[in-house]
Amino acid sequence: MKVWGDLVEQWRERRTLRLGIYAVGAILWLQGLLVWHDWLTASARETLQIAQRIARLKAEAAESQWPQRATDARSRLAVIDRQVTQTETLGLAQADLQDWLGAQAARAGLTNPTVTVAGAAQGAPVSTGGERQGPDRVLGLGFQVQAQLRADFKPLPVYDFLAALEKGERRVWVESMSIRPGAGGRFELSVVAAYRRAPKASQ
Amino acid sequence: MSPSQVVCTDGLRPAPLPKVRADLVVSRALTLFQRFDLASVPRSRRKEALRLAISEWSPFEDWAGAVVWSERGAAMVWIWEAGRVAALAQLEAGRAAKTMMPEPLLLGPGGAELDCVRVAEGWLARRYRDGELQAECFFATRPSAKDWAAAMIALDASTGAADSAWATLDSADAPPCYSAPTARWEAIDATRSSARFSAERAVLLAAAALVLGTLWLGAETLRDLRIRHLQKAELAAAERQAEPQKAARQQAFDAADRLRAWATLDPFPSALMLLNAVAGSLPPGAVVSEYRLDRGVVRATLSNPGARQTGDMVTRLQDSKLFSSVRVVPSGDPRTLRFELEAVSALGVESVKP
Repeated sequence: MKVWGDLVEQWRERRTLRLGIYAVGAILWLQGLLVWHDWLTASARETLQIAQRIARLKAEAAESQWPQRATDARSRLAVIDRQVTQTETLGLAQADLQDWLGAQAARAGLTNPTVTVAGAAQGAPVSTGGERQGPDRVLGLGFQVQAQLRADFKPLPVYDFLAALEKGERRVWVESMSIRPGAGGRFELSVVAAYRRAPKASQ
Repeated sequence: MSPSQVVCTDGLRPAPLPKVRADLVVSRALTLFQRFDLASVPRSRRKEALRLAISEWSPFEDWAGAVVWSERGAAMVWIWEAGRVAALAQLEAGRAAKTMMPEPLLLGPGGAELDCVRVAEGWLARRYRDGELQAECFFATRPSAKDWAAAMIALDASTGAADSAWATLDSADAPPCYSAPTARWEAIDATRSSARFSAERAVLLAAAALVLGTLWLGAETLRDLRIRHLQKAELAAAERQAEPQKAARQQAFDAADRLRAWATLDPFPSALMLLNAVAGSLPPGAVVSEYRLDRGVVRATLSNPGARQTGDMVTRLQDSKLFSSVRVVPSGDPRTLRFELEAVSALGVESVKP
């Protein structure tokens, strides 16, 4: 109590002490205000960001075309996906492509058709335009098989054969084609087909 | 707290008990007394008026002192020479400026019209009217009858009161005994009043500024919190509303990525379409003698082309929109015409964008 009494006494009597304590208090108070102001500035910035986010969300909510676009894109993708056959091995894929090309050639009426299948590494695209791993990974393709077909050139059968390729039973695309019309004319075609790897049947 | 001391003409002396609330008591021998009637001056201006009045009356240029205000607006002022008293106080104590109180404030109020009391360095005669101190007269040595009479004239005391006080002079020989000041007093000086005023005003201004700042920040904080509260609900509602669109957009982008990947594998129009375009643009009578397609590039050789119809054929090929470049390649045989056509790539025109 004596210490407290002395402190009170000093406070009453010493103006310099009072001014000093006032100054310290004012500095601390000011520091507190500055810290508070910094917090408030950061909070205002965050408030602005939230407002911008709300405006963005409202604009997104008003974009009603996305469901239709998603449906359209999925439909187009489904058509393509149906064209990709699943096989368990590369050999099966090569056999499938050879059979299918032979069948299409016969159906189109190509004469003297020969189909040879080139080996293609698993998962390694034959023709990817520079993006060697990208499309395979995105599409989850297991194999790409390349095949060459040679036959005598006759315009109508060749047209029918090309139309059969375009019909879309298999996902194949022509890499190169050569036509030499006339007597003894030849038709040569190089195609690539995409296959998905089928899960192996459980033993 | 160190005990109070009395600043006397010969230095510091211990103050008689009880202890007073002041560092130093200034001996009456070092002070001058004057009463100023400032009842006609507005209360708010009295302090400044008193300071001016003291400056005019004071024989000291650098004065300091104490003032007691009466209810009727009169100021009882004791002043001393600040530099001399400070020098006397620091001579012994070696301390900085302290709170100083004039000795008469510690002597207690006089009970009669005129009294005479012992002080640290002499005797003090005081005259009162209606309980209010009117004048003082200090004697450094015990006054003689002649000194007393002259002082009574200066104090404007009545004869009866002067005689009665003279009779009590013997009892005033005892050492002074200080008591706590009964009147409220305040320090005053020639130079520090404005500075003190400025310092106090600065403190008040700073406090006001800080309070204003605090209030402003508080209001801003409340406003910010209110906005954030409203935003919280609005954000949740906006997220709910946008969620289906965002999901659909993501699905569309995913599907577009896959379509773009397919286009990367097969970026050109079909072989049948390219062949149809070339066949459909042939001039009458022209025959394709060789046709090659290799990764989107068509090289065709025509026999018997009509020279005047070559331009039409190029136009038709360009109009088909299937080729980005149509070029005629020189050939050594005037009966043949060679073309080199670059098919449009789906990657170049982003045709798969949903």
